[in-house]
Amino acid sequence: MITREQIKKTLDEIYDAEYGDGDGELTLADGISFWLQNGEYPFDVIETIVEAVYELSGKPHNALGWYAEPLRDEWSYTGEIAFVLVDAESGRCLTMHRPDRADAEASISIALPVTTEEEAIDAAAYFLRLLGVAVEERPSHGGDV
Amino acid sequence: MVTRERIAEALEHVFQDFGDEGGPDTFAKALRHWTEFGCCGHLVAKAITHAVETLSGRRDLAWYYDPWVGDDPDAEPYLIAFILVDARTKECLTLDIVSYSPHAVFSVETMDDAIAAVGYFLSLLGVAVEDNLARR
Repeated sequence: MITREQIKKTLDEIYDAEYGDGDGELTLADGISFWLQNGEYPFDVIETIVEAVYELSGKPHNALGWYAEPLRDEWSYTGEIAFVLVDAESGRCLTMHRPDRADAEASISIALPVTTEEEAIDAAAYFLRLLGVAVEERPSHGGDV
Repeated sequence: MVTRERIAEALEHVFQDFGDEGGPDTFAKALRHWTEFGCCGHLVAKAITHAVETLSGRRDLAWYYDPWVGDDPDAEPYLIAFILVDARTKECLTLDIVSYSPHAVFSVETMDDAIAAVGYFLSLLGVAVEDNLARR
């Protein structure tokens, strides 16, 4: 079972190694804040989530096909990223799903909010589960008044 | 055999089903908005997917499309990324087995480009198309 702490550690290590000095000072949370404040294309955030999924699932890079698009409204990024994930060996689209409405068309992308590091952990956990990896559930906030 | 003329007609025909109120009222106009102002790319992409569904007779296809718009429309080629999945089998038909990319990217600046994109997807689905339309 992969814990959320393991996912966070992996995300931060990848982010710092690729976009920082590798001294552990820079975290993915910094990258997410930078994206939301400056509105530049979040290639670093997307790449870090994808690389963490490879690392934690043990899948080689030729095993998965990815497409990611940070969603925008008229003026700026919304904080959501649409992902499409394909198993390259079988060719099957793993993110395909049918919305609840009976007449709704099948969707091949999943839009996930990535406005905090917790949400980035949720996103990585979502893809790991799609790949059959057991992942710790996010603790419930139950009882908030 | 699906000809270029049939594809052009299909693009205009399907566009009438979903054209935006207050927006361009023909596919040709939507294409001009896309290349002149960098907007309406989603309408161009949607018309391409609907034309493919109409001409192939397939209603079991799932699409993702993403018009790539830069800050400076004049400097950008007019690229649209498409992902096509067979919704029954979940097979991604646009998966590139060399790069592992699930998407196919087309430059769509002219009616001929749009026709070529439709022709490519039809050929992926096993529909016979006029010569030179099956290649990207």
